[in-house]
Amino acid sequence: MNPQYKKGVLELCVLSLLKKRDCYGYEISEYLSGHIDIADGTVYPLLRKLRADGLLNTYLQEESGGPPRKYYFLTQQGLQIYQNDRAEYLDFARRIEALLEEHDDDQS
Amino acid sequence: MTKAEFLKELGRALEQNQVADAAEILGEYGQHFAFKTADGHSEEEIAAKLGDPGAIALLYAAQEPGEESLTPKRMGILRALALGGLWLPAAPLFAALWIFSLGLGVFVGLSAAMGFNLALGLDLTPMLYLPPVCAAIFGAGFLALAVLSAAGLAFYIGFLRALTKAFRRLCKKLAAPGEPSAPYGGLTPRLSHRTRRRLRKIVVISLCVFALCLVVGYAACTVAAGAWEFWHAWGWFGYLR
Repeated sequence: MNPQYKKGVLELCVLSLLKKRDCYGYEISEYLSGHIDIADGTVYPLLRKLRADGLLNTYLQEESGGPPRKYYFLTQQGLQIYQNDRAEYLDFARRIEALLEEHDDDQS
Repeated sequence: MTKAEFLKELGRALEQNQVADAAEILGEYGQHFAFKTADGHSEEEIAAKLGDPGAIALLYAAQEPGEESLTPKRMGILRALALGGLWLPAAPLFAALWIFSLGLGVFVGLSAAMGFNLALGLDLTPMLYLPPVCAAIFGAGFLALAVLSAAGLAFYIGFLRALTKAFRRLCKKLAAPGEPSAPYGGLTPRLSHRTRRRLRKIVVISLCVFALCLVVGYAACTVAAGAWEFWHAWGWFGYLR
């Protein structure tokens, strides 16, 4: 899959996942790489960037039989931005889909 | 690549790119390995799926602020200082230019006063001797001079205002480069055509009157005094011929 399409939407996917519930880094990485063909390693830098930009924040939770896990959660700002960007993207995607379907009909 | 190799290379790449919190980042990837191996994957497989450590470090490096980070606040302070440096020599210059216009205005006033004094025969100040006719002529000449300099003053002030506006626009452009701003505008006074024509007419007329009065007045005085250098004949410089 063309990496250019992936870059923009990866953020959106992370935010949508965290809207449902708080997750720790590995969970997010597994979820995304399961759905999209990306290198696992790209998720962690993205999480750090979103945190630096104030869309996410973290807390540590003790785990039985293991080191404490760093959980990510969506901030108020992150929620607002997610809702905004999600609406924008879905609208955009629908328009593009309509455009592409239309042109494909002409060819056949 | 084993887990140890991957983490070592990642650590090195992070340090090379001067990424902060490298230890925390390595901890996260270490945990990733731990979880993955618990799910039954081999270290080689995990490292392969993670990608190139160098590339990952670059992703982190791209987030760091630049060494000389110019935050908008810092940029604003720098710009203010630069503008101060521009205004410092400019301020006295502008002050001088405007004070000159004041001086010009005073000149206008004095000429007018002199003109009225002579023309109307008012004895406002101790005057040098002048026969009434000559006084009237010279008075008219002074009045014409006053009008002429007043017109000149109008032009000068128009020019000064255009200059000040252009300078202010220059400062604004320097303060916010890239933002669309008004062009500098010409340095000639922005007067309407009608005003220009009227002013020009005034200048021409007053100049002619002034010149005429000068010549005629001189002739009249010469005739009245009976000498070419009437100022000596009338003892203007303290002695009589």
